[in-house]
Amino acid sequence: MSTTVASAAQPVLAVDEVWVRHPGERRVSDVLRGVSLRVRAGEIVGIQGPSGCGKSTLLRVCATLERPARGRVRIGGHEVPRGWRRDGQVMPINQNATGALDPRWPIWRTITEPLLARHHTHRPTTVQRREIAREQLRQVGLDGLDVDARPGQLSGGQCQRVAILRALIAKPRLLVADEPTAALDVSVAAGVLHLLANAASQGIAIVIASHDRAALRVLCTRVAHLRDGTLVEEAEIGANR
Amino acid sequence: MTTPTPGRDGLRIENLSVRYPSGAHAVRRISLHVAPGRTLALVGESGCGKTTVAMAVLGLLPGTARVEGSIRLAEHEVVGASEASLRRIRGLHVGLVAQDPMRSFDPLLSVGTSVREAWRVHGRRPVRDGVATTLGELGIPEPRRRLRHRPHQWSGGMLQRAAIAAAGAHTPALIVADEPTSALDADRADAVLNALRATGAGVLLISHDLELVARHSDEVSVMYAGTIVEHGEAAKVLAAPRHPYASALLAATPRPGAGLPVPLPGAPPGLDVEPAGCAFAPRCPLAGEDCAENQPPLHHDVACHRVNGRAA
Repeated sequence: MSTTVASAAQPVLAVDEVWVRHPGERRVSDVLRGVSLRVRAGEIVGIQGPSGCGKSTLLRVCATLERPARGRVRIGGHEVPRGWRRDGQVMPINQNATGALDPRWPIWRTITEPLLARHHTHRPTTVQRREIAREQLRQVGLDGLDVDARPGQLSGGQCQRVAILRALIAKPRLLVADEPTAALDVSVAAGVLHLLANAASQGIAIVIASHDRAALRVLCTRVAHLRDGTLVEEAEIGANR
Repeated sequence: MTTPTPGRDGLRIENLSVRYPSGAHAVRRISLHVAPGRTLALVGESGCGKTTVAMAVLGLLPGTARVEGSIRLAEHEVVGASEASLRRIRGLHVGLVAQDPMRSFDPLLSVGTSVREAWRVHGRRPVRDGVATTLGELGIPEPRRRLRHRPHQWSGGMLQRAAIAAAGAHTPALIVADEPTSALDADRADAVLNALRATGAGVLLISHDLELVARHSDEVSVMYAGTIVEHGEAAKVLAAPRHPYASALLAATPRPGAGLPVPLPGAPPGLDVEPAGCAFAPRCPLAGEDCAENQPPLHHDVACHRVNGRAA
């Protein structure tokens, strides 16, 4: 990645030669050793690799939740400044959705909160927000769900769909999903894959880590393997979609 | 399905029904058989009753649950057994491999101590290096050194194999494995399932991973709303399912080259209502009027009016 290609489609996410060290049991170890990755708008890039290989660390770096020791992370061509608040441009989704949702908030508030970010000119009223939440839930087959329910009253699959609705509602440029289907039933997981494919078709760039190889293969434009802290791109498999 | 059963039988369930005090009829008149050395997978969505079956087999249902029918483990009846005889049956004839290996081990003890304790409880005196040898056979590299480690120093896949070494210590007739690999990646999942089968016990595998089931089970029973809707050889059922629910479940499973998986419409029914007809009818693409009126019996291993040529 030494040359910079000025192409029409500038990557939404550009990760260059990133190194991350974590304190280990006996000595400091390099979790990521010079990882580079580019994701363009509408692309879904899958990250695969054995447990403990650093997938989650890489995803935290992509989501700008963790600063690398060395290397650059750019979102939309801009270097990520220290303490950047992401402003809804980069949204992470975790495996454990229940833990990601605020337990005190009714789900309408969780789902629509990103619409209140500073750069939004038309901020919806509370009445509108509840209506938007209802409409969003209907789209993912959760019409029966009370918009005033708290996360504690929801099943794991329902929580994950709520978390994804929240992540997508403000049309982020980049979605970073760490094992979004690992805890879900097959049918619910299939629904989540559709949500992600649909988001990509609207131009959102997606990075997804999963140990479900088949899911990555049917969903992703590209799959890369993380091994020993380095990323190896698999041949383009878009033809399979 | 006619496997010779030398010595003792594995698991035989007849007409098992489980009702919870909440009114949920979680398991509805199911029958199944797991011979020693065979693996039977129970598959289905959350809430279909598969874990309730596993808990019933282990005699671990809450005392308030109403259990009818028969569960025999190596010819010992579990239903209605006293707590003392349940402990004996559990100690001698059945092992459990649970979902989260981190929770199956005492974090303060070394892995070796935990496994050796399980062996002692089951009356097997570990010879010097016996545990290490077994774990080596299960594919744990450098087992002797690793046995001195605490559980957090092991990976999930290695710990799950240690759990199998503990569960299989007494060569039980049956090992119940409840989602044993859901926390693991594919390579490690295969290693764990191979280790399970290598114990020689019958295995009741609870899983929602159909790909895994296809690779590692002899037979599969597909459960929906507390009943078995299709049963058969795993390879056959998963290659060419006959029940519409089994087909839909398979279509919802991502498979390379198959395009995006198709989610099932709607949600499984609540278990507190006894449906007049087929429980799957409201979500079934093939359902007709008769489906909502009569419950389809399990006929030629499929419970479906459409497949079995209208009403029986």
